[in-house]
Amino acid sequence: MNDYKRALNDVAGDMKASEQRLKNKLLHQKSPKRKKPFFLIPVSITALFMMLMASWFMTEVKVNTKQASSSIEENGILFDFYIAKEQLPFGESGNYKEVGFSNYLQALGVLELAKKYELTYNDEEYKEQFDQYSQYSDPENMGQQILEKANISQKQFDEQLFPMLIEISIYREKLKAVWFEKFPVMNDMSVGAYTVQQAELYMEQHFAREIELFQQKHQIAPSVIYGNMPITGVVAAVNDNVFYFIENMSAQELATLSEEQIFNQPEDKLASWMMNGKEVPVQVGDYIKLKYYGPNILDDKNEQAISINEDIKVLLPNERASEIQEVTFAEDARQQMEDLLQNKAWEDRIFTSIYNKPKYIVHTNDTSYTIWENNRKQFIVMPFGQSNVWVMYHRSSEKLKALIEENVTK
Amino acid sequence: MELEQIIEEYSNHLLRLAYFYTKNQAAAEDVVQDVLIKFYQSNYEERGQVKAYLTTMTINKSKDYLKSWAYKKIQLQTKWWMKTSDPDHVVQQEERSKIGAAILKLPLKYREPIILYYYEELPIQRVAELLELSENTVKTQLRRAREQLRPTLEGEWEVLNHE
Repeated sequence: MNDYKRALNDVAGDMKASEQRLKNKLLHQKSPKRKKPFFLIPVSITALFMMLMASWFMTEVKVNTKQASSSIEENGILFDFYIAKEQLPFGESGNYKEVGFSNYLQALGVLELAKKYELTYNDEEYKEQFDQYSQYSDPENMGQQILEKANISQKQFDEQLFPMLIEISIYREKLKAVWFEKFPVMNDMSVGAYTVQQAELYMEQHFAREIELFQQKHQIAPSVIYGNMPITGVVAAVNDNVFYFIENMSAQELATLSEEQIFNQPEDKLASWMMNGKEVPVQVGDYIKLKYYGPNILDDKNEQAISINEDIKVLLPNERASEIQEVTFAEDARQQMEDLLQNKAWEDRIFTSIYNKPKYIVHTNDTSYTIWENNRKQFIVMPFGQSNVWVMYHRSSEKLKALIEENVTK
Repeated sequence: MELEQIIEEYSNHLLRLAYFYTKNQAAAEDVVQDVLIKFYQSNYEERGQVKAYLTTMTINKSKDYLKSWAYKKIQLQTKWWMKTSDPDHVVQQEERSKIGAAILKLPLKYREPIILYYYEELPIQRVAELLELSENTVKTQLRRAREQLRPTLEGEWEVLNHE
């Protein structure tokens, strides 16, 4: 089974309950309710009523706007809620604990960021958020089922959990306003993803040890964060807090492109406007390394959505671009290089990690090549204008290196 | 072939397939139920291609569902317990596999070639026929889909990295 198929099977989870319902419907003309035994329906109606009453009451008598504590250990009820929310639809299979914990950390991160930015809210804002919540339909009483699964009583829900969820929701919205205020260039599609990323990062940076201990205690596997592998490339344009990034491109190659070409890269080449949240000074032509959080916000209709990234590091400023050794091959050297390139593996670039600045640029009469050296001393070669790379074997890399050095000295 | 036998043999596969399109278990059940009823009423003549036939019906029905009002209505009916996660809460809920979840997050344009090529294991030519696209376009869409999955692939399948 290929890895994509396995991943899709994992995400679909156990389909036995669906299969059984299908059988019942088609063979026995039965259509059992998806989850809920009938005797719980009155309970959930009562619960919904109580939830509304309790929360209205709290709103009317001036809700306490003190922020919830964001300590990882102290918010057990919130943790139980997020775990149950993941566990309920899919049972014990899959990584519901990891996903639930990740959502829990995000929520705590939102509270922490709210403290950092000294955000507060008033009763009116609480009521407004509550009104929004109360409008959502819940025909299958999933909310009630989650509470039961998490062993959270109605009283706990009314007095602790629900106010906390509303508070988190208010702060999420307020943080979005902070980002819009802080960054001249921001859009609706990116602002939510940026909030999530910042909340996660804050927790990781400030509570690493607590997170580790909590994960051990609750047997939660450490999470793998999207985009934790760095990529490198050139800054092709800068606009306030965003810059246009093209992966695996040098300043020299960038200089050969018209403005139209810069913004119309081949479909399979990573080129995108990127957030520069920490305002690392970058300029056009800089060769940089960053961590890319792409898939959350890339969109079918908006190909130039702003991508969230982190850890921007300038590997080679534009003014030092000439440190990449450039060499022009005459016909005989070109032929030798072509022979050496026969001994290479063609790699889709998504499976090839380049962490360093380019080492050489080789020009021949018809093509130019950017060449990197990886940690195994293998050359990674990419012709200008293309997106996929060739990874050369070690011995061929050494020979090409000698050929380049020889032609440089000529 | 009896209905019971068809359900036994194919429903699991079809439910998963419909789920990859609709991203909703209940909707997947409705889609497969309609497909099986229609199939049973169609007096299908066995030519050894039942699975392929049902697969095509499920794909078409799932796409009809995505265009339907029922789907759009569900999209509007956010529930309070769903609103308590990040903006991708609907997909987050489905996230038992980072990569699987990332695939489900892809727009249909890129998700569909991945489903057909990798999950259904159809050759490019057949994917192109089903989607009424050229083979080159299918290849490009697969590349773009993998591109969008890149950060997740690298995080999860480090063994595939060259270094």
